[in-house]
Amino acid sequence: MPPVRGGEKGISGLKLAAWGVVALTAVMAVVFASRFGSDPALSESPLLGEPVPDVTLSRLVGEGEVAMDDYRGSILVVNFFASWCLECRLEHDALVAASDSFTGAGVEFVGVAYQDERRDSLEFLDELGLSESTDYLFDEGSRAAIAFGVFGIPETYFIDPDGAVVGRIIGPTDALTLGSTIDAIRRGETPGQQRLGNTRSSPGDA
Amino acid sequence: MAEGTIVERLPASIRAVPWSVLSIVAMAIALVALVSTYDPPADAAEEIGSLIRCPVCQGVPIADSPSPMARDMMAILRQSLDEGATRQEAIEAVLGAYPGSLLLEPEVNASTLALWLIPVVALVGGGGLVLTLRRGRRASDVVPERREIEDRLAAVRADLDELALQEAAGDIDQEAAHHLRAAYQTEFTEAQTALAELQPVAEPLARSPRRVAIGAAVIVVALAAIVVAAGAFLVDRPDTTSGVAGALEGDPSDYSNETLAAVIAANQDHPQIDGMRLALAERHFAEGDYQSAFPYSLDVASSDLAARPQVATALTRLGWMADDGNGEVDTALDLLAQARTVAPEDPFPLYLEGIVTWCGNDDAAAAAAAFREVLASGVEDAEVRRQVEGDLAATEAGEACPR
Repeated sequence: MPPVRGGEKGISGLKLAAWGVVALTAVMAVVFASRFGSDPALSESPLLGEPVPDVTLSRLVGEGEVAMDDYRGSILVVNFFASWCLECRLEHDALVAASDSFTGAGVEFVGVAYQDERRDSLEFLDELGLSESTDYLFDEGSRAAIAFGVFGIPETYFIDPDGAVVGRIIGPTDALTLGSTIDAIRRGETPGQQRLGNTRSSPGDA
Repeated sequence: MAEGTIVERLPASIRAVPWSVLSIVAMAIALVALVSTYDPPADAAEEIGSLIRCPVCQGVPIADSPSPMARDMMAILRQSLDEGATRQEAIEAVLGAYPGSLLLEPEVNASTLALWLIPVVALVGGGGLVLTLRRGRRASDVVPERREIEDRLAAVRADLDELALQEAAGDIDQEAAHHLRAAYQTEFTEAQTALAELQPVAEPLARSPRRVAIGAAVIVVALAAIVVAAGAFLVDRPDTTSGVAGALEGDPSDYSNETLAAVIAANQDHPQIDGMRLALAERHFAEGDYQSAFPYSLDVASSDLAARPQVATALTRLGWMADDGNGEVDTALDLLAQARTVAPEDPFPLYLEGIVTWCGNDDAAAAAAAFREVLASGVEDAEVRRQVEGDLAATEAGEACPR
């Protein structure tokens, strides 16, 4: 009687399927591993190359309102900070130094207080020293932060004299980076985006 | 450990229930639980907000997040919808400046292709697996049935043989033998037919390269689809180090005076900051901008961290600026003397001292003495040496300062 191998055939199909599952799992592991490090917070801002968001904010220091478009014709540096942000303390001196150094050189600095109380932001500036050449603004309802696509602070955006967003720094910046980015924009280059360190999303963010 | 102990302890009535039925019941319970706990969105804003991932939270939609940022995003969403924005415009108002990955229901594009393909591949693959297993099981079910028929055939064949023997021995009458033979033969024919019917099912169960090839092809195609999607993921990864970082690697001479000033102002206590101060002072000095050069030179001259030659250079520049810029001859000579004290090996302060004495104090003889000392100290640069020699000749001849 010829042997009937139906049962063995079933195991062979099962083996094939099992190898398929193993191969599939391996490929999926590679795919998902490749996504590590591509945090959406680090993905290139869709704002780069686009016009500066049309937002108007009230002043934190002084009276009145200021629109981003008011700075057209100058290079604009927009820095988002808050009193609860440790990294913002680390970069504060660099921002004050850069703002003061570029005074009268066609470069304007704006500090936007993000997710903060006015009183706390003012205390922060009192403690660390404010730049006379910087416009400090208050972001009521996170309008500016959402319009700029802020994930966490500090974040700093660079806008060219034509009003196009040309640079973004995620994390605490330093004077050389600020200055060389402005120098690059003056040469007509597009600095793009870079990450320099940690950011914080909210006061409780460790 | 005894095999299947837990299952064996179950009552026979439960053990008899097929796994497929249990699976369906479990899925039904899950479905009922999902439906009963489903909280429909209160309005359009809630519905859209449930599709937008809060950028400052971990995988929570803005409609459900207590964070102030999510609350502010919901406010903008509501306002946009109240102002008559379409669904897409409202999403754009909130996510316009954020990368598309914040949508919890991602669009179909190159980078999300794998996300959409995986469930389809899993469904097709899972279905294929179930079918393979079922076929395998059916094939193994056939084996006992076939054996049973073959046993029957063998038994009938034995009965026919025995009948022939009985007939030959005259142990059975003709009529009875005829009836029995007819009955055995009918049974034999039936069993043969049954065996023949089994054959087409049993046949493909033997080794089939075709099936293996089809299975392999399905897996290869699925893998290829996933690899292509993975490629899209990799290509889509943003280059986060380009741009600004490139500027930092450039030639330091690319940095503007303002950038150097900012770096100096922000790093007053840095051990190497005096080199940068001196470099910026030199730039301003070369441009004839003494007013800008002065504070940096002064900082270096009075710095505890500056190297000796740096202090001497700063004092020399300050001395020259005091004379050339302000006409303060005594201050200039004092500063140049300090420079000589700090760096006695540097002949440059002495040369400038000669110039200031000659031009500021009209003392050609004292200047000539200074120039002689400079030449005696050994000036290596031929051009500088020629200049000092020229000045020495002029002072020795009693000429007035040419400035």
